[in-house]
Amino acid sequence: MSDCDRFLETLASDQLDEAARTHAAGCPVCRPLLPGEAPPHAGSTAALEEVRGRALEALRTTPLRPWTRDAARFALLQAAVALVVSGILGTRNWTSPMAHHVALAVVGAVLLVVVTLGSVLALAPGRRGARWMLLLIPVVPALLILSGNGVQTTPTVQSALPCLVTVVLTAVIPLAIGLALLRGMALDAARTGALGLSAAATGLFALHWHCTDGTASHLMIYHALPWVALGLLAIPLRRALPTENHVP
Amino acid sequence: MERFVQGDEPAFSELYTRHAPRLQGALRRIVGSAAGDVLQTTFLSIVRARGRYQRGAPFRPWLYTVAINAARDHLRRHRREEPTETLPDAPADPAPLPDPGLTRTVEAALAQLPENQREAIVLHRFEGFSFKQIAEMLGVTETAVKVRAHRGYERLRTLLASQRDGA
Repeated sequence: MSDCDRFLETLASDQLDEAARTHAAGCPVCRPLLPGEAPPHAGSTAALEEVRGRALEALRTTPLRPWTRDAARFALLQAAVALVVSGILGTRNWTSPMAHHVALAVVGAVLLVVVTLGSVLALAPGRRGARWMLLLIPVVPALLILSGNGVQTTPTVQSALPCLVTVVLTAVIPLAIGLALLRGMALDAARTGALGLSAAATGLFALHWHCTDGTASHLMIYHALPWVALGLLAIPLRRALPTENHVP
Repeated sequence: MERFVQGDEPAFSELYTRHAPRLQGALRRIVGSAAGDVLQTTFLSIVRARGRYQRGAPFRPWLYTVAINAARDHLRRHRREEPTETLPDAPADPAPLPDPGLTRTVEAALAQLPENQREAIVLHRFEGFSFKQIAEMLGVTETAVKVRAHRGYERLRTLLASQRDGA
């Protein structure tokens, strides 16, 4: 390994030692790569002052809007949508004699957490919360199947299709509002996917109490699959929208 | 920073004076002549969405994260100009540089790198951020940043060597 190669190795591993520095200082090719704070370009002062003026104007006219307020309102809206649709559809599955009440209650609670806390995590600053949400992709379908009673009540595609439609239609309003909120922050696929999953869980929650078909195939194809698909669909939809602010 | 979040104009002006010129330089190295527009987008973003600032977080990495996001959005929406056209014009009244010729040579080579390698090198070599900080800013792993930087430095060195041989 030549001295130049060694310098490059240490530079790219952030472990620049004295020997590498000494080599670079005397090497015309490596010398320009030595880390050091370069002075800023001498930009136009007038242009900088113009940006300052516009930013100050925006500061005067834009009230402080804590992210927690938007997130709390969105979580409440999603919970309301989930509960209203549940009320409209009814709780046929819960009152069915075949129902496993404990399993249904536990999974219902998990879905409500996805609907509420999930939306807060998706909208929170930083990236960690949204990434944790993506772990739900295998967990939620597994829980749905575990809470199913194994009884088939929708043997045909035609009779099962309303479940898929319910998941999609219930998610329309939460997803639209969520995407509008996401425009106020930097484009982030993980965040958008997390928000899509949270919004789509509103329909999943309503179906959970209503749909009496407890077979794994039905729960996977007509409940979990549209839920995941909506989460993924949110990403290109968000990408197509312009970004208002680029804060993380 | 806390005063700025509450809407205090002198506090914002102080932050602006401290960071804007340097950030403009970094943006010139990343987006070329669109640096002014991206700088404006960056500061308007942090003003309008200041409610997303996490109390206690260091301001400079946050500002640069917003700037990188704005730069990427700009590059996605507009095809990047030819590298040679993105180089800043020599200022009429240049600030004293340690070696202006050398700096411009490096920047000419830098403009030829792919976007993600250029970002890593601008933030590491010119702005003095550690790889860990850059990873947090870009939302990728530290290893990914090191790989980008390593490839970028390697390419830069090749470009600089060929420029030197050609001179």
